[in-house]
Amino acid sequence: MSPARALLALLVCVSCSGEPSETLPDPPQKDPPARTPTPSEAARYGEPLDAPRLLRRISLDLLGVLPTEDQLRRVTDDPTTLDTITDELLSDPRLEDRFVHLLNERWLTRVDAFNLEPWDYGLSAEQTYPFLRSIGEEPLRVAARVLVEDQPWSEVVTADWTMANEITAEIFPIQYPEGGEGWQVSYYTDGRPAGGVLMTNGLWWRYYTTPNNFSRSRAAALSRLFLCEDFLLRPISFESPALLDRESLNAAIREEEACAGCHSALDPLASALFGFWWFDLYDPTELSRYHTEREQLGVYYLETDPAWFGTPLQGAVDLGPTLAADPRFKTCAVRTFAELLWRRGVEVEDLPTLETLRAGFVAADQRPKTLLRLLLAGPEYRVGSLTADAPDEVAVRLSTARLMSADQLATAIEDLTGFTWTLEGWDQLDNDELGYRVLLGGVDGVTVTSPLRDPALSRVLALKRLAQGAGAAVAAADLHPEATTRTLLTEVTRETRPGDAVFTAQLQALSWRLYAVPLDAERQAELEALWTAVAAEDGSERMAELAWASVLSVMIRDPRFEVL
Amino acid sequence: MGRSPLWLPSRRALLGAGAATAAGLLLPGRATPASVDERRFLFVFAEGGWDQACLFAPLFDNPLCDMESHATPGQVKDIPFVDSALRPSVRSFLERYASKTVFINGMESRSVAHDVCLRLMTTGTSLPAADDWPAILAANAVADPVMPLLSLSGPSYTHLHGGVVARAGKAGQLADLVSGQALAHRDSPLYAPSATIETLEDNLVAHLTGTNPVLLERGRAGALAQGRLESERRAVRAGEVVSALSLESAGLTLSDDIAMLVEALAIGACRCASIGHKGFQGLSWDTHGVNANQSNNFEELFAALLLVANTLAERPGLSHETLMEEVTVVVCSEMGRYPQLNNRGGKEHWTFTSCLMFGAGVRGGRAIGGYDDRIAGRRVDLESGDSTESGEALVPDHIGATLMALADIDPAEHVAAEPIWAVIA
Repeated sequence: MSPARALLALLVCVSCSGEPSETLPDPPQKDPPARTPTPSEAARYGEPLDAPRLLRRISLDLLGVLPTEDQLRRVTDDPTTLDTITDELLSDPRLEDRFVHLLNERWLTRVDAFNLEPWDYGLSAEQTYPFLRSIGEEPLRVAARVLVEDQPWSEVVTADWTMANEITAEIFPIQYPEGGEGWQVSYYTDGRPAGGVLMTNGLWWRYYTTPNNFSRSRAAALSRLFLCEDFLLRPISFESPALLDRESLNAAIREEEACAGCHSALDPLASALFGFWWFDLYDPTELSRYHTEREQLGVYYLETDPAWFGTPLQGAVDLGPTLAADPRFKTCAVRTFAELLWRRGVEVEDLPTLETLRAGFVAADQRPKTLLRLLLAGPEYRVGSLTADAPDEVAVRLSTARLMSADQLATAIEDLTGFTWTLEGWDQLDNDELGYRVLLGGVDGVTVTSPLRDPALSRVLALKRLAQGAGAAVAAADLHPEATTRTLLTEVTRETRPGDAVFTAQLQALSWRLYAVPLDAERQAELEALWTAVAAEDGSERMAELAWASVLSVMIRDPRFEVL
Repeated sequence: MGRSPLWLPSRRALLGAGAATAAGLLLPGRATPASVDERRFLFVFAEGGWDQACLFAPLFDNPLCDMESHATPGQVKDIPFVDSALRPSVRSFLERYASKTVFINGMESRSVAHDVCLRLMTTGTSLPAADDWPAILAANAVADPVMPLLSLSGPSYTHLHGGVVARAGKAGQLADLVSGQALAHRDSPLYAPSATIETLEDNLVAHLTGTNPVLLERGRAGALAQGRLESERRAVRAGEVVSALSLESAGLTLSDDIAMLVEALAIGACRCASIGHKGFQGLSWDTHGVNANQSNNFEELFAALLLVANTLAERPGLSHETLMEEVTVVVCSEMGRYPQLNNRGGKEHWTFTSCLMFGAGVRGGRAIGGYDDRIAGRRVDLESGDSTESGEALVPDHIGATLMALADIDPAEHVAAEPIWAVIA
C-alpha cells in the first residue's frame, strides 16, 4: 500500500469517531421471541382521533390525498369500517408514489445534483428535472413496488429486478418492457448480481465513494439505511502517531481498538461493493454499468476479503441475502416504518411496542402491508389528544398532531382541486432551483434532510400562494358555465348566494372534505362574510368565481388543513 | 347578515391600510425586531471542502504536503497564512481585519463523506434529529426578529427548531411568495388576488389561527398551533423586510448575497443568517479534478468577506458604535483536502480542516491550533489557545460551544464540548 493510500485508509478510521453511544451495533442474532406487550405510553395517556379524522390521517399517509366523501360517510356511519377502508387504501396504486416520497425522508436519494448531468448522456437541458428524479427514485421505486405487491421486505435487498422508466432505460444497460410507459419492473443486463436496491445505480450515485475512501462511505451508508446503525456514533479516541506512515497506519487500523472497532466490520463490507468502483467519478461509461471485473479490487485496496460482520461473503452476490437474513434488517425496517408514520424518532419507551411490531412483521413473512396495518392500528399512530393525567415528558413525546409534509400538501391539493404548479417541466413544489420544496417544508436530501416538523415563515407563505392558486384554478373551472364535471364546487353556481340552502350545503361539504370536521355556525358565518366582502369588492360578473376562490384559499390555509 | 365579524375591517380601513397593516391589526406581534443587546451571527459555508493548504496551513517545509507553486508563507499579526498573488483579497482582508479575526486550525470533521461532514460540522453529530448551530442560536433569541434565522442557501439542519428558519430560496423565492409573483412563475400563470381581497383573506386566516382552540392543548397539537400562530405573525411583518433586502435579486453573486444578509442583520430582521458558497462560478470547492480552482474560490470568498467586514466596520450598530461589535461572522467548510495532489491535479478529501471567525466577541489577531507534520490537528488548550499535547483535539462541537458562549447560551445544554475560550474576547 502506498503512503498516500495508507494515509487515506485512515480517513475512515477517523470518520468512525464520534460521540459516545450505548447503541453499538451488535453481531447478528436470532430473531427474539415475542413478549407479552405492555401498555405503551400512547395507550395509557393518549386518546385516539375520532374515526373520520383518523381516516383522514391514514389516507394522507398512505396515498397523500384526503378521503373521499364516500369513505368519510362510511366511516361515520360505522366506525368499524375503518379497517376495510384501510385495506382499500393499501390496495390503491397511489400507494407507490406516496411511499417513494415517504421513504425518501430516510433514504434521501431524491437529490438535485449528481456527478453527471443529462447532457452527459445526450439528453437535453429540458430533461434535467426528470433525469434527476429518475436516478434518485430508482431505489425508492424498488422498495415501493415491493410494498404495493406486498412481497417480503427482504426482496428490497435480494430482488433480481429493478425499476426503470424511459430515461433510465435509455441511459443504463437495462432491459425495459417493450412498449412500457413510466416506472416498470426491469432488468440490468450488465451482469450485476441480484441484490435489490443494493444493486441499483440510483443508490450508489447518491452515496458515491471518492477514490480515497475505497467504498467505506458506501458501507457506512448501507449500515445506516438498512441496519439503522451508524458507525459514526461509535466512540473513538485515536492518537495519531504516524498518520502518513504506512506501517503504523496499517497497524493502527488492525490493532488499535478504536480503529478496529469500525474497520473490522466496515472494511470487509466495503470490500463487497467494488463492482460499483469507478475510476472516474464523472464518466458516464464508468457510472452507468456494473463492473464485475472489479469486484476483487476490494481485496487489493482494502487488504481484506468481503465479509458481513464476521461472516465471509463470496462477494456482492452474497450481500443481499446475507443482509436480509440479519435480524437487524427486520428490526430496522420496523423502526423505519414506525418513525416515518409516527413522525418522530423512536424512544426507549417505544422498545416494547417495536418488539411487538417486529414479532408481527416476522410472523407475516415480512409482508410490509402487514407491518403497515399493525402500525396504523396502534395507539402511537392513532393518538390525537392527551389524557388529563399525561405527564409532561410524555406529552412532549406523543405525536398528537403532525404537520403535512410538502409532498402531502402538493398531492392532497392536486387531488382536491386539480391544481398543479409546474414551470418549464419542473414541478415547483418538488425542486429548489426556482421552486418551493424546502420553503414548503420538504427535504432536498443533502442540505435539508428532515421534513419540517413545525410551521415556519416560509411554509406559511408558500402555503398561502399554493392555496390561492388552487382556489383560483378550481373556482374558475368548477364555476365555468360550460363545465361538465366539477372537482370541488359541486353544489353551487355563479348565481348562488350566501343564505341559499345550497350555499350552506357547499360550505358544509367543503369542511367535511377538507378537515373531516362538521361546519359550525360561527365558521359558516365567517366564510359567508368573506364571500360577500370579496364579491362586493369585485362587483364584476366574475365576482362569484373570485369569492369562491377566496373562500377555498382561506379554507386551505385554515390551520386545521395542514395538520393530520 | 348582521354585524361584521371582528376579523372583517371596514371598507374604509381596507382601502386606507396596506395588507400587512390591516392583517397586523389582528396579529399584533411584538414590535421590537432584534434585541439591541443580542449578538447576531453570519454563517458562510464553503460547500465541498476547502483546501487548508491554500490558506490556513502554510506547511511549505512539509514534504508530505503539496503546496501551490505560486504560494508563499505570509503572516499578519500572529496569523500565519498561505499568501499568493492570485488571492489578493485574502491579504487585503487580513491586513485590514486580522486584529478582529481568528483562524481555528486542525479541527477534525470526523468523516470524509460530504453529507455526513456537512451535518457533523454544523451540528456536531451525524444524527438526523439535531438542530444546527444557527438554528439553536436563533431559537434562543430573546427578542423576536421577523426571521430568527434567514437561510439563503447551504446546509440548514433542523429538528426541534425548524420553526425559526426563514428559507429564502437560493434564487430568493421567498420574495416572490411575499409579493405574490410566485404564481406568475407557472406554465399557466396565475395572479394573486388584489391587495384588498388578499387583506380580507389574510384577516380571516389570522382570525382562524388566533382563535384555534387547539392553541390551548398540551403536547404536539398545541405546539403546532402555537407555531403556526407565530409564523403567521412573522409573515405579516415579513413584507417590509423582504422588500428592504431586495431579496428577489438573490442568487446572482456571492458578494451581493452576503451584503443582503448583512443588511438583514443590520436592521435587526434576523439573529442569524446563513449562506453557502459553491465556489467561483459555481465550480465547487470539491476539487478532485483541478485543485487550482481553490485559489479562485478563496479569492471570490475573501473579496466578499472584505466587503462584509468593511460594512460591519463602517456601519453604526443598533446599540454599539459599529456593527462589528454586534455581528460575529463564522466561515467554515465541511472538510479539508488531502495533502497531496492526485493524478488529475486535484485533491481528495481530508478529515482535518479549519474555520475562521471575525467580528463581535472574537479575540482576533491569532491562529489557534494547527497541523502537525502528518497534517493532523494539533491539540489545543482551550483557555489559552496554545497548542499543547495536554490540550484537546478540536472537533466541530468546540465551534458550537464557542458560538453558544458568544450568544450567552449555556453550551452544556446543547454541546458535549467546552468553548474555545481563547477565541472569546
